[in-house]
Amino acid sequence: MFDNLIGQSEIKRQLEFYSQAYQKTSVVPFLLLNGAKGLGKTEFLKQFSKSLTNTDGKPRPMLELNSSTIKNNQMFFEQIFMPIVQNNEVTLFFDECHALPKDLVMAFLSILNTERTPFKEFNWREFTFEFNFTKISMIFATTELDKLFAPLKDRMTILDFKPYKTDELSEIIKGRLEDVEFEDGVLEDIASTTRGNARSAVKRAKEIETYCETQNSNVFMKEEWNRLRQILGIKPLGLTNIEIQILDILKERGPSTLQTIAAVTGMSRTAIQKDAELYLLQKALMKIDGTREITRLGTEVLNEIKEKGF
Amino acid sequence: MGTDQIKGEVVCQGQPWLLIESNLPSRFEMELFLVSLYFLLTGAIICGLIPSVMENNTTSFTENETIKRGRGRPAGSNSFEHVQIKHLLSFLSEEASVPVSKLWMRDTLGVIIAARPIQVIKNEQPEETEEKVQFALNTFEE
Repeated sequence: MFDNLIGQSEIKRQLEFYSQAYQKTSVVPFLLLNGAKGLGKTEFLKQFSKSLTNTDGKPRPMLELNSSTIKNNQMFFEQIFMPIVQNNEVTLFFDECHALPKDLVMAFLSILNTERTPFKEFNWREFTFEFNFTKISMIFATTELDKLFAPLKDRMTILDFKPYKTDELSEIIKGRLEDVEFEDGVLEDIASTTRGNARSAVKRAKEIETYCETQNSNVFMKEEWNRLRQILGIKPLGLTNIEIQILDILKERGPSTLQTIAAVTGMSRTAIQKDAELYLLQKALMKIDGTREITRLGTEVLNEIKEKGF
Repeated sequence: MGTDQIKGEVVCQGQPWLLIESNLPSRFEMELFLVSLYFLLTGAIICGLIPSVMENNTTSFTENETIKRGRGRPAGSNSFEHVQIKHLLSFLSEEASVPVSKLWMRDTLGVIIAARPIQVIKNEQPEETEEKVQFALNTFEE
């Protein structure tokens, strides 16, 4: 089912299990795909929905909804449910479901409460809507699980996506560039700049493809990689300029408070905590022990950036 | 001098203010009494002993509510004056438009002006574009 998708072995196993169960029960549990952006939630779900066959033998279509554009029940029932979902066999995929409006979340609390039968009737205004979950599959995805209303979360089966390993990212890049020959170690080096993110790996593969086309070459050596890095400003570990700036502050000033970093960078404390620090902590380039401090690895990476002029 | 006695009291703001008790046997004494009473009351008002009702434009109605007096057109007053046409023409040309009351037109000329239809002003602002849910449908059909 997921032959063309790399990594996320646990997710694959779980989805395959639910797909096989569907062949017997015609019902899919209310799945909630949780994970950071670019980990392949939508791609995996597309493959999963494709494996569900409708009564006419065709793969079940998937309606991908941007949850933040649904403002209320009326928009959902009038624009989505009545014209597209009702009387059809379809998978409803609510992307970024933490942004669903409150009244729809409340409606889903009762709609998804199907412990005994896969049918639910929901009354809204003068209408009665029938949710037949042998025909409708409802799947949700979020990057911010903590923002989802807990009782709604309880009604769902949560599947956690994990960051990709370097070898998986290398495989993703190589899979997109089958005609390109890489020097030993280069693919791993490229993969290390994609921050564990499959979407970034695909994007990087596209950049390499464009470079090879402009150079009329199918061989990608270390020299080519370094040249491409210089052109596109790709830093070691895929660090961003603000992350490098924070490392620089910590190296120059020694252990510093969040307030100091915010004052020097001009960023808000929240932005630093949410956007910049996480990856530095994840890669052990800095540590927090009362104050923020650069690690030995952080100093080495910073020196490399300065020496090589990235 | 007679022996008949009259009694009375002057009440101010609901409270007895002056008790009058007098024998008034003759008309002269009665007139003298009334004149004295007049001067007495006038003096009291001037000295501020009795608040003058005429000075108040408002009368207490309830503790928190007042009714204003003196609003609207006083009885007998008129908004219009009679002017000869020739006098008006010394100020205005024959093309000038002069407002006359509908009542005058009806009574003098026998003309009844129909009420103007109510003009409905349409909201010219562009209607707000309806918000749309963003979605994509994958059918997986080759």
